[in-house]
Amino acid sequence: MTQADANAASARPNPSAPGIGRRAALLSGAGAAVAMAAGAAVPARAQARPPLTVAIGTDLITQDPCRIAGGNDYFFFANVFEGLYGPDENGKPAPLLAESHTASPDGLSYEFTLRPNARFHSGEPVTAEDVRFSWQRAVAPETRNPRASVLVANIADVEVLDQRRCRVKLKQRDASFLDNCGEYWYIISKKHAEAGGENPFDRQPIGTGPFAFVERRVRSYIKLRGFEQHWGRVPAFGEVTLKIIPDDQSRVAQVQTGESDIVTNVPPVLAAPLQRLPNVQVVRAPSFQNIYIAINALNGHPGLRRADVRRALNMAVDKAALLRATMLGFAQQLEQPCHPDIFGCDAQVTPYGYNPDRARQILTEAGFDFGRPLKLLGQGTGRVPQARETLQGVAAFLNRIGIRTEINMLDYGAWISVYGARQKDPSVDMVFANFTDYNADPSGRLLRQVRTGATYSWYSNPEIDAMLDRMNDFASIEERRAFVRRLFARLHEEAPLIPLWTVDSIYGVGRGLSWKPTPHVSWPVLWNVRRAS
Amino acid sequence: MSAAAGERPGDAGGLFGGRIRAGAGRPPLFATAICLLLVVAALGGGAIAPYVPDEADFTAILAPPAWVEGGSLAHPLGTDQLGRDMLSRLIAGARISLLTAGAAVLAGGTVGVALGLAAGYLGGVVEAVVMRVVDAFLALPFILMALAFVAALGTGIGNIILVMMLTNWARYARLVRSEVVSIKKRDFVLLARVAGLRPLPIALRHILPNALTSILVLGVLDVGRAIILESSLSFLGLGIQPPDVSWGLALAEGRTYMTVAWWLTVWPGLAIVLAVMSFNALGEWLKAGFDPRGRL
Amino acid sequence: MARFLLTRLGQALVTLALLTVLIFVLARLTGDPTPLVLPSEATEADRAFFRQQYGLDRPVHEQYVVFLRNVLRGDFGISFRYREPAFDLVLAAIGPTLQLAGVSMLVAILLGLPLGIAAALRPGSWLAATVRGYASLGQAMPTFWTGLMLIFVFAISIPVLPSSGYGTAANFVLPAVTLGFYASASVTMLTWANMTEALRSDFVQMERVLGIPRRLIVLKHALRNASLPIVTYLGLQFGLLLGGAVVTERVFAWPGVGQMLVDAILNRDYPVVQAAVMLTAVLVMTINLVVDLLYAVLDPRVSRS
Repeated sequence: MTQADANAASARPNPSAPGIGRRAALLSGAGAAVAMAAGAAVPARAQARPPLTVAIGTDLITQDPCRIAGGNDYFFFANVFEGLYGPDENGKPAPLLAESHTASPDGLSYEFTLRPNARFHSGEPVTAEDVRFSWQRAVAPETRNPRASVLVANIADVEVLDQRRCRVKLKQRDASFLDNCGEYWYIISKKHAEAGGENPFDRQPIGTGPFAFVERRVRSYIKLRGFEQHWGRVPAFGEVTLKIIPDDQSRVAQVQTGESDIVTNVPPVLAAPLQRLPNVQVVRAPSFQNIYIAINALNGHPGLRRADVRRALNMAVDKAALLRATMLGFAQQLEQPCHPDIFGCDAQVTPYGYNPDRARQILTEAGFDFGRPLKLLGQGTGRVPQARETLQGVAAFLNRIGIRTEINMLDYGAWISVYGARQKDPSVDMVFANFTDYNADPSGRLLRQVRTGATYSWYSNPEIDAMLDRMNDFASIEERRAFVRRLFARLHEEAPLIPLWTVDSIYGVGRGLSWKPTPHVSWPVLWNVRRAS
Repeated sequence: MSAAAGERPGDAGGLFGGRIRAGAGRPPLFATAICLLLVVAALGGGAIAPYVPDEADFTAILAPPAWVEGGSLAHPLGTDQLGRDMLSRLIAGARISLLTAGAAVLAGGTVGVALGLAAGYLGGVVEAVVMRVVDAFLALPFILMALAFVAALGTGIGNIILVMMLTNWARYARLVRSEVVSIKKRDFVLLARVAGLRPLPIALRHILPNALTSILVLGVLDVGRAIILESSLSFLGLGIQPPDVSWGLALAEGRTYMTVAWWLTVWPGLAIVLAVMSFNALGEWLKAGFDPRGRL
Repeated sequence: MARFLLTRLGQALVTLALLTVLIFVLARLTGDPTPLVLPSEATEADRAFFRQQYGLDRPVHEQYVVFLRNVLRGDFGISFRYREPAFDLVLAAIGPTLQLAGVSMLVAILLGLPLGIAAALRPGSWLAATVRGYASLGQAMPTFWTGLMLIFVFAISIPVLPSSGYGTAANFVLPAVTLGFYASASVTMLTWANMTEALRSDFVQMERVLGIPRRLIVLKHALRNASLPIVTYLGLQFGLLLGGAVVTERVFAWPGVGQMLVDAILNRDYPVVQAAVMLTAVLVMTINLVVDLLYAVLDPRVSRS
């Protein structure tokens, strides 16, 4: 689509025509002449910028930032939408659409000042009114935002102070507020949403991110375009095509043949041969995708209700050997439930270490019933690299200390129905599981992973529950850090799960490019891809 | 599909389209030997295998076969991604692959024969209903149906056998029905009827034995087909699950390693090919002997 | 004849009706789609709303009636996963599947016909033995393994062909050879059998006595006589290829119906499962029906039996 076409198309919106429904036109005409971006170079004309092709593994579930279904959709939202705050190039929370903020001493109110040059892809400036609307739409019952409970439901009001300033008032203190602004509260255009009918984002997902949506063919590709008027993160590329290629080998072949410039989710096994090719570089970044074994401390094998038994199980698995064997080193070994860069997870704990003799001894002393096999639930067809091998490896280590195991591998859909069931299945003793932290705040995951009755919790402890309920009720970061460290130390003792590792995000990148993927986000953030000089 | 279908070459499970009788005289020795060997491996696999098939050895990961550089006689066919002995896994795989295939054929055959017998002998409404259900099952490509069943019932050996039974009974039903329809009209059956025998004894004592050879031949030919179906399901990740080993599963798990360790995909594949070829050859031979008219 | 036609059509319709039940029940047995389309943060109310939105909260028989009514209008519902009409999604995928099946069929004919004829002309020779070996190998090699081996040789060891994907002519080579090789085995054997029979027929024997050139006999007369069962069989084989391509599509990341169906099953995407299976089944049934009718027209004994 040429510039002229784009303007023409947007000049006469045709919301009801299904044929062009997926085609969203960009407005970049009038404003483009004025260089808005403060720190950025004067944007070159779009046509002059080269295209970029990225091969990804899964298609979107939704284009609506208020209806995000899970981590798999963030490759899109992290590039097309932005919150007031979000991850910087090092994965640390930094002001995005906001220029700065002040928080009240009681932690109940935040005053944001928006960037003067922040714009929507439609060309309109981002105003405090848009921020207020973004909250209103996110909590409106008819929006059916499945994740409203995490952040926006706790907002009591968004006061518009002036064009560029607003005050967000919280119902309860929430220390995770700023961290979560990146993934749980995207800022959308009031004008666009109100004019767009029932599902404005299904047709035209207009955001503020470094890339603007152009076109999508379901199960095939998504086309984006570098947004020249971005307040600071102007991509070096014009048209960006995200090709959807679910099969690992085919996807990786894309960068080998040069059909794609970047491929995401390279399985560890394929990374090594890729590294040897002259035209491809293998780039890895630590992610927050955790791999662990959840232990059924509720109603499974009775022995598992004892913390000493669970600690012994932690000693029985040689994580380092397993990591080398299955992940070929493309992962960061964990001693605690989260990556050490997660807030508060840097407590000094003594690693259990690999000690099968000690494990066996503890189990014997605890009167563990070796006669009853442990039933392990795994992902047969999953979204996690080496899921099958990992669980089989864990089982092999358990067998070595005399525990019999029965593995049951299910496809992802069946697996998640069991793992996330409200009533936990008593015939499951351990679950191979993965959980991705969307940002460095630990509360989202802990509340779902270990709190009594939570979706993924196979553990219950009133003391831990009480600590979890207090976890976000801090105004002082340092006080909170100390508290969360204590919580993690307690969880280490309680051992409701066997942490294994966080997998590295592995990318195959053409030699002609230079790119440092944002660490800790588990999806590709593409605005800082550059051509190698 | 009516009686016409039975006459159509290559239909109703006749893998080679029927009517080939070359070599009908002597049994295919090599194929028979392989089949016997597989049965022995399936029954006594644990005793022959040098290692426990699912025992991981993290010090011997992806060891190549003995004659390749870096390989050793400790693992003549190499090891897999968890350091498990390939030879032992192939032997263990024979057990699962034959067990599931055999059980599926037996179960599918039994159900199919029973329904086919009922349809063919009773005729009328029973026949109409059974045959339309048969048609419905046959209209769906069996792998698609198997996939849906697995997703519905779950994986695991028992379910895989059930799924394979559900996907193959219809062919037996169709075959048996057409056999029965033709046998029914023959003199000895009419005589038995006149003599006042009730339908069930007639069907079991007079009709079934006459249809048995065709069923047997179809059954042997079906073993190869079932092995392929099981391995295809396992390959798609919806078949046999660890710690059980099947050839298809070993292949699927080794697939990503193809560029670094060819032996993970080559050995299980060869095992499947050899097994299926042998059972097919045996079936063809039986067919040539028992079914010279080539109706299968 | 007209009666035969009507009976077969009627039977096909009954079968189709049964199929809708089978598919409907199967899809629903696969499990709950909500954890796959909603995030873990979703509340029970969100899940309930999703079920209500797609009518999944109603009793199954009611759902079936709604399903049937919509299907009769050509509406297979909206995909849970992609939020687009399921039928459109499947329709977009049927093209690649038909293309692959077609090209594979061509490969099967090009391989199977000459091999079968050659073997029939020289019974008992080493050539016949080789052809027999070829055919039994073709029947015994699971397509996914053939595909993987071809990828290993022609895309990895000697990288001359793309390992997977869709779009260019080169993309067709490996998957079409994989499927075509498999199908060629039965085409070979069938051609062999029918040619043998045709060559033995009095008609051909007579021509031989009359001194008509061998080549002419083979190509013009024997082949013509043998071609009826071969052609009808090819029709059936095409139907089989449509469904049998699931695994091949998976191996080569071919964007066809088979791939879509596997994904839909894994995603518990009932509308797409239903649409994909129905469309494939209708195609296969139509082909079978046409073959049956052709047979009846060409061989009048059939319609009387």
